[in-house]
This record gives sequence, C-alpha cells and structure tokens, in this order.
Amino acid sequence: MSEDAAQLNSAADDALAELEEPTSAVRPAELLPVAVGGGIGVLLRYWLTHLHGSPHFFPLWLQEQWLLLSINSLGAFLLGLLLAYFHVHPSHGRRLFLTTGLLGGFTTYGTVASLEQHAIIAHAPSTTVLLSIAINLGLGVAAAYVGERLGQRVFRAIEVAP
Amino acid sequence: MIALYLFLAGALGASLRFVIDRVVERRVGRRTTAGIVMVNLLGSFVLGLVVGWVHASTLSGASSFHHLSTSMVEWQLILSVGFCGGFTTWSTAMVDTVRLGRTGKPGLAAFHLLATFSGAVLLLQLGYAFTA
Repeated sequence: MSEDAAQLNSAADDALAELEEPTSAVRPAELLPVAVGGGIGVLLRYWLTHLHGSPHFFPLWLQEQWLLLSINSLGAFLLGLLLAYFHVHPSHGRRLFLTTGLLGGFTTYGTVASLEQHAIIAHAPSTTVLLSIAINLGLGVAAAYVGERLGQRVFRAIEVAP
Repeated sequence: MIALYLFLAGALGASLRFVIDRVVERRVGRRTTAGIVMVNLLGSFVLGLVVGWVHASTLSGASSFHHLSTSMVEWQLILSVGFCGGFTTWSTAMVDTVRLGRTGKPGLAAFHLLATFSGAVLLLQLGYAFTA
C-alpha cells in the first residue's frame, strides 16, 4: 500500500472515530437550519415524484420505484460527499442545513419500505421483491461509499494544494 | 397551498428526527446509529398507519377518487410525503452502514442494514393492518 493510500485510510478512520462534534443538547438555533433544509428537501422530492412529465413509459408503481431509487441513491452519494467536505471545512450551521435538513428530507426510508410492503401484500413474486430490496440497499450503500471516498480524495487534495 | 403544508410537515419531521437522534446519542453517551434506526422504524410504522388509512378510504365504497374530500387526500399527502418523508431518512442510514463496515465490523454493518429494513417493512405492515 502506498503512503498516500495509507494516509487516506487513516484519514478515513479519523472521520469514523471523530464524531463531528461532542454531543450536546439541542440548541434552538440548530433547529432552524434543520427545519428549513428538511422542508426544502421534502418539496424537492415531492416535485420530482409528482410533477414529472406526462408520458408514462412505465406503469405508475414502477415509475415511483425508479424515481425513489434515483432520489435516495443521489441523496446517499451527496451525503457521503458533503460529510467528507465538512470534515475538511467544518461549518456547523451549513452542515445541519445541507445534511440533516436538506438531504435528510430529500431522501426517505419509509416510502421504500412502503413500496416493498405493497408488493408483498399484492403477492408480487418473491424473487422480484427480494431483487428490488437488494437493488435499493445495494445501490444506496455503494452510492454512500463512493460519495465519501470521492469526497475524501477531492477535498483533501484541494486542502493540500497551495 | 399544498406546497406550504408539505414544507411545514417536512420541517417538523426533520426537526423531530434531529431531536430524537440527539437525545438517543446523549443517553448512549457517544455517537450511535441507534437514533436514526429508531426514527426510521417509528416513521415506517406511522407511514403504515397512513397508507392503511388511504387504502381504506379509497376502497370504502367510493367508486372513484372524486368522492373523497380534497382535504382528506391533502392530509394523507401531508402526513406521508411530508411528515414521514422528512422524518425518515435514507441517506444517513446508508452512510452509517458504510461507516460501520469501515470500522472493521462488516457483519454488524450488514446486520444494521438488513435488520433495519426488515423491521421497517414489518412495522409498516403492522401499522397498515391497524387502519386498512
């Protein structure tokens, strides 16, 4: 393993061990960026999922699945990227707005579970359901991993450059 | 108008998630994934209640959606897409899984991922069964 790679790995370990900041009680000032970001994130998701173009190439439930998969995977990728960014450039307020608020509200866990539950009670083939769950979870984890790794490389490189 | 309500519901959901995560963290005494797991499980149960309500109201003799009052459909949208959508989160659950895996606990990461999702589907079904 090259020295660079070793350094990157130890930086990754730091990022894991270090928790963005010591745990303190919620301060009222922290709620504003979270709330505003969350509201905007929800609206973005609503507009993407409900106001998309009229031509329906796929059945509605399938459309919803693909849109949600894209939204959630994009959100996981961006969260990995942003956490790597804020690790190098700490900014508590902006981090709460963009990560906890915006991406937290943009992505959603419940609706994924809801679509799978719907497929199960509608007696969809179990292979289809399991495949769909595997795609959602697999892509989500992969997106978060790639986002964080990419962020660690890019933002550290920028920091090191003169 | 629906946009304003969705914004407010999302803001409330996200704030509640933030507060629960912090409270759990302070109880445990260190950074933990438990808070977000609890939020996603609780949110899935609540969403199940709403989806069951939607299901029951669209099947209860009404031949079409036009029989449903607008405000009820709006409430269902505000609670599901707005509140539950803002409350539960996918991105943090995925990043938490990656971080558990990278701290040398791939087994725990896989358990975290699969157990949370299975639990969410089960709790959603439980909520759904209450109201459907």
